[in-house]
Amino acid sequence: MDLNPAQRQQAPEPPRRSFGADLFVLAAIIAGLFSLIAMGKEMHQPFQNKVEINLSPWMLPYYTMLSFLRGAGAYVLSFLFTLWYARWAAYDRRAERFLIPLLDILQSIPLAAFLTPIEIFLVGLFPHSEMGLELTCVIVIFTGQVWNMTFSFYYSLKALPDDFNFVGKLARFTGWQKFTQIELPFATKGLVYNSMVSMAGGWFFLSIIEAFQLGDQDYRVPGIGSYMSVAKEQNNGWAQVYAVVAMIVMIVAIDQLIWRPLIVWSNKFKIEDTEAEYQDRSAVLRFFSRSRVVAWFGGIFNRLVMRPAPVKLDAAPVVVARKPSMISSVFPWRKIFFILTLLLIGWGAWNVFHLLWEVAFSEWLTIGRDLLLTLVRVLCAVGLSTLIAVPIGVWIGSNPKLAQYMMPLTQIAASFPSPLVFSNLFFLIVLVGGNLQWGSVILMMLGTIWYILFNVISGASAIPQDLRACTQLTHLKGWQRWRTLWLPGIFPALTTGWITAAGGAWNASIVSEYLQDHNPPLQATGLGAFISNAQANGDFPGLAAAVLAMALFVVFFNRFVWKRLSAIAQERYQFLT
Amino acid sequence: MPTTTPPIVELTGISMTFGESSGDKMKVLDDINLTVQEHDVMALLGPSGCGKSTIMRILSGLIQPSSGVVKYRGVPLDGVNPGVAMVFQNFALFPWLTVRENILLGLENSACTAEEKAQHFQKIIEMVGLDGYGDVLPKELSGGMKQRVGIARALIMEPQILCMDEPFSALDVLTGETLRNEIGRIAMDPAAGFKSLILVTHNIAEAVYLARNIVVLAAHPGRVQKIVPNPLPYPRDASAPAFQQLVAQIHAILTNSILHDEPSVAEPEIVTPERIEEAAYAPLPNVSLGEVIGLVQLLHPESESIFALATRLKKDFSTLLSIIKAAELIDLVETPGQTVRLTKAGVAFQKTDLKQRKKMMHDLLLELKIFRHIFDKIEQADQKEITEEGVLLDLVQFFPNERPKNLFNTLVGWARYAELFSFDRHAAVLRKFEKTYLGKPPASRLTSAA
Repeated sequence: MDLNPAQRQQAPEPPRRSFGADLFVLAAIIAGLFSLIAMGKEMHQPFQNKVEINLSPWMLPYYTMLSFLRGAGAYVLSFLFTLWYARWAAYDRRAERFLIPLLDILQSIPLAAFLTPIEIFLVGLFPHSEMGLELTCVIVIFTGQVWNMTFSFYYSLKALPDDFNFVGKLARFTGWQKFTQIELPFATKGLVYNSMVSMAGGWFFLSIIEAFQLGDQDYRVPGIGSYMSVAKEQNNGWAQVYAVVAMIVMIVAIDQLIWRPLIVWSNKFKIEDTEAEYQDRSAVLRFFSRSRVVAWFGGIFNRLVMRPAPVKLDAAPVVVARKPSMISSVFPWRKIFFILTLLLIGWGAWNVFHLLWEVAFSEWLTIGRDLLLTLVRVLCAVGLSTLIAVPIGVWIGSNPKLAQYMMPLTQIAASFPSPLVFSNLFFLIVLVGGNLQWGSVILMMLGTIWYILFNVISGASAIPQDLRACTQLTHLKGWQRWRTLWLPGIFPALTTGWITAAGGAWNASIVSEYLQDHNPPLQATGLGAFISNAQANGDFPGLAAAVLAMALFVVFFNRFVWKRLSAIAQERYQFLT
Repeated sequence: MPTTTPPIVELTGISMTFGESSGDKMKVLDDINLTVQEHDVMALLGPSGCGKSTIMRILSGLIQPSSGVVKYRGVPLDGVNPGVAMVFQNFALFPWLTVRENILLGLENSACTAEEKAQHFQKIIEMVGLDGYGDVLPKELSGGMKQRVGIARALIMEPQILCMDEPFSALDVLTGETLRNEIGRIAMDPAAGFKSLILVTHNIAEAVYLARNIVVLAAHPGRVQKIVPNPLPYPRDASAPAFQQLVAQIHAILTNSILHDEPSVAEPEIVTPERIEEAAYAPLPNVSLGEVIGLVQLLHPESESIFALATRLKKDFSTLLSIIKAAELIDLVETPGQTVRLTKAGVAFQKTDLKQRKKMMHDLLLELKIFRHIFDKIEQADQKEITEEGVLLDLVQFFPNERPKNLFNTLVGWARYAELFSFDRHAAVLRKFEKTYLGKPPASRLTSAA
C-alpha cells in the first residue's frame, strides 16, 4: 500500500510490459495458490487447536507482545525477500520481464481473498504443531507487507546513477561492499518510508489471521486479534475496549520509537547537497544519538557488517577477466528451471481447471452479480471517503502548521486494522437503522478514508504559495477557487490515494460483507461475502471461482481505470519545476 | 510629479514579526512608512532579509502586519487589496490552464461581457507580445514567455497598483534585459491601464532604470534607509553619466547601511558570564566561510572600490557586501569609505597554505565573542558537549533581530572549517572538534595505489 506520492513520481518507468505477460503471471499465481490447496487437502488432517485466551487486561501486554513479534518476524522476512527479489529483478534483464509484472499484480490483488488457500497449505505442511500455526501467521502478515518494499528497493536500484557505480568499480568494491556502501544507502530513504507503510498493511492481515476460523476448525493463535475475537464471543465489552486501546498503543509506540527516528535518520541519505529549509526532528533519535552505548554498538556493527576489513589486503589492481563457469556454460540450468516452472504452473492450472469444472453455470452468474454489488460498494466507499476527505484534507494541507501535525496522525490512523472493530461499528450502524448491505460501505470507509486524507493533505500542502496568492488577488471566490486551484492541484495526489484506498476496500470486502463474530454470521450480498461463505463451508470450487473472478477484475480495473487516471494526472496536473 | 489626489496606498507604522516560539522569533519589519501616489513607479531595493517581498505582500493584503495600518484610497484595508495585481518571481502560472485561461483569470469576476473580455484579452496579449500563444499550456513556454503571461494576467485587471516581485530574477540575463525594456515601455503607455507600479528588486541598475522613487531598505530588522527620487527622463539610458551617478549614489547608501551602520568588530577580551553584554556581540552575516576565503584570495593588496569589485567578480552587490562584512568581522579586510582592502592578517592569510589558514581562522574566530562564548561553554561542560537548544537560547538573547536557526547554521559552518567545534545533527549537540580518523589505511594498499 503505497502512501507516498513523491515516491511514485520519482520512480523511473518500469520496463514495458505486455498484457499477455500479465495474464500469464496472473494465471500462474492463481494456479500456484490452488495447487497449494490441493496439496494441503491431501495432507490435511482434522486439527483442533484450542486457544486459551485470558481476558484479563493484565494479560494484554503479553498478547500485544506476541502480535508485535509476529509483525516483526514477518517484517524481517519481508526485508530479506526484498533484498533478494529486487536485486534479482534489477540485474537480471530476462527475469525482470516476469518478476516486475508479478510484483505489480501481487501488490494489487486483494490478498485477503487468498487467506484460506495459504492457511490450509501451511497448516497442512506442519500438522498438529503450534509452530505451523505461528509460521502461517507470519507468512500471511508477510504477504500483506512485502510488495511495496520490494518495489521501492527495485526502483532505487534502477534509479542508481551510473556515477555511483563507477565510483564503486574504480575503488574495486567487492559485491558486498557495493551492496552496503552504494545500493543500501541509496535506497534507504525509500526503504524506510515503505517499511513503515508495509508494517501498517501487515496489521490488517494480523487482525484477521490471528482470529482465523474455518468452518469448525479453529486456527486462532494468542494475540490481540484472538483476544478481540474471544472478547466478542463472550460479549465482554470492556475487554474489547482494552484490545483496541492496546492495538493503538502498540501502533503509536512503534511509530514514535521506531519509524519517526528512522525517517529522520534516513534523511542523511538524501541524494542532495543542500540542506532542506525544514528539518524533521525526533526526540527519540536525539536521545539515542546522545547515548554512548548506542554509538559503541553502532561502531561494532559498522566494522563487522557494513565495512568489514578488506579480505585481500595486498590484492594488486589486476583486471580479472570473468571466466565463464564450466558448469553454467555447459549445463542448461536456466532452461531446466524454466521448464520445471512451466510444468508446475501447468499442473496447478490443471488443478484449478478441475475445481472450476465443478462450478455450475448458475453459480457463475451469482458470482458475476456479487462482483458488481461489491464493485458498487467499493466505489461508494472510495467516493464517500473522497467527499469527506477532500475538504478536510485541503483545509489541513493549506495550514502548514496543522499539516505538520496531522500527516503523521493520519498515517497512524491508517495503520489501525479496521476489521478489529467492524462488528462494534456495525452495532452502531444498526442503532441508526442501517443494515449490512449498505453498512459494509461504512465499514470499508473506515479503512479507505485515511489513505485519501493523507494524500490530499500532502497534495494540498505541495501547492505553491504563489498560486494561492494569485487566486486571492484575482478575487476568485468559493467554487471558482476550488475549480481553478484546489481540485486540479490535489488531483495527482488524489489518484494515488484512490488506488491505495480501492485496494484496501477490496481487501476489506472479504471481512466487511461477512461478520463472523455474529452467530449465525451476518452477511451482505457481495463477492466478499461469497468468498467468506465458501471458506466457511469448505466449498473449494466456489472459492476458486470467486477468488479468480475478483483477482482478474481488480487487476483489469487497476490497469484500465486507476492507472489511466493516474497517468492523466501526472501528465496534465503536475506542477512545473 | 506632484499630485493632489489621495494616495493609492499608505503604509503607516508597519511592523512584522515571524515565528511564535521564542526559539524561532524574528522581527522582519520595523516601523515601515510608505506612500504610493498615483503615477508613481516605486522600487523597493535592498539586501536579502530586508523584507522587501514582505512589504509587498502586506501592501496587497495577502498577509496581515503584526502592527500598523494599510490604507487603500484612505480606507483601512480589510482582506485582499482590491487595487492590486501581482507579477511573481516564479510566474505562478496554473499548469493545467492554457495561456488564455491563465490570463483571463484576472477577469473572472469582472462585470465585463464576454465580448469585452475578448477585446480586452486581444489588446493585452498583443501588448506583451504573446499573440498566437493563447491555446498553449505554460509548460510549453520558455521562462521569458511564461513571465509575459504573468504580466498579461496582471495587466488585464487594470489594477491601481501593479506589483512586481523580482519579476526578472528567475530569467537568464538576456531575457531579463529584454523584458525589463518592455516593462519600461509599458509603464509609459497609458493604454496599459494601471496607475502605479511597485517593483521589488535587488538589482540597483534595474531600480534606477525603471523607478521614479527608489526606496532603499536596510536589513535586520527591515526598515526604510532612504527614499531616493529619480528625476531622470524616460526612456533612460544606462550608459548616461547621470544614470551612472545615481547608481553610484545608491551603491554608497547600501554600502553604508550594510557595512558601517552595524556594531563594529568586538574588542578581543576574555568573556566571563557576568560580563556578557548584548551590544558587544556582532551578528554573523549569512554567508559561508568559503565565500569569505574566496574573496580574500581574489583581493588585490591595494584598496579597491567595492562597486568596481562587484563588477570585476560579477557578483550581486548586496551579496558581495555581506561577504565583505563577514571578512571585516573576522578582521581579514577593512573598508575605508567605499573601498575594501586586506588587513595585515588578510595578506598573511592570502599567502599561506591550507593548514596554516585553518590555524589562523581558528584563532581569528576565537576573537569573536560569540565563538569564544560557545567555545568556553563546551570546554566547561562535563562531556565537552553542549546542546543545540542551549545555544539557540543564547543566540535569541544576544541577537533578537536575527533568526536563530539561520545564525546557528552559519555559526556551525564557520566553526567546522576553523576546527573550533563540530555539530552532531542527530544528537543535536555541539562537541569540541576532534580529528576523526577511521583507522589506518593498509600500507600495502597505499603502495599498490602509488
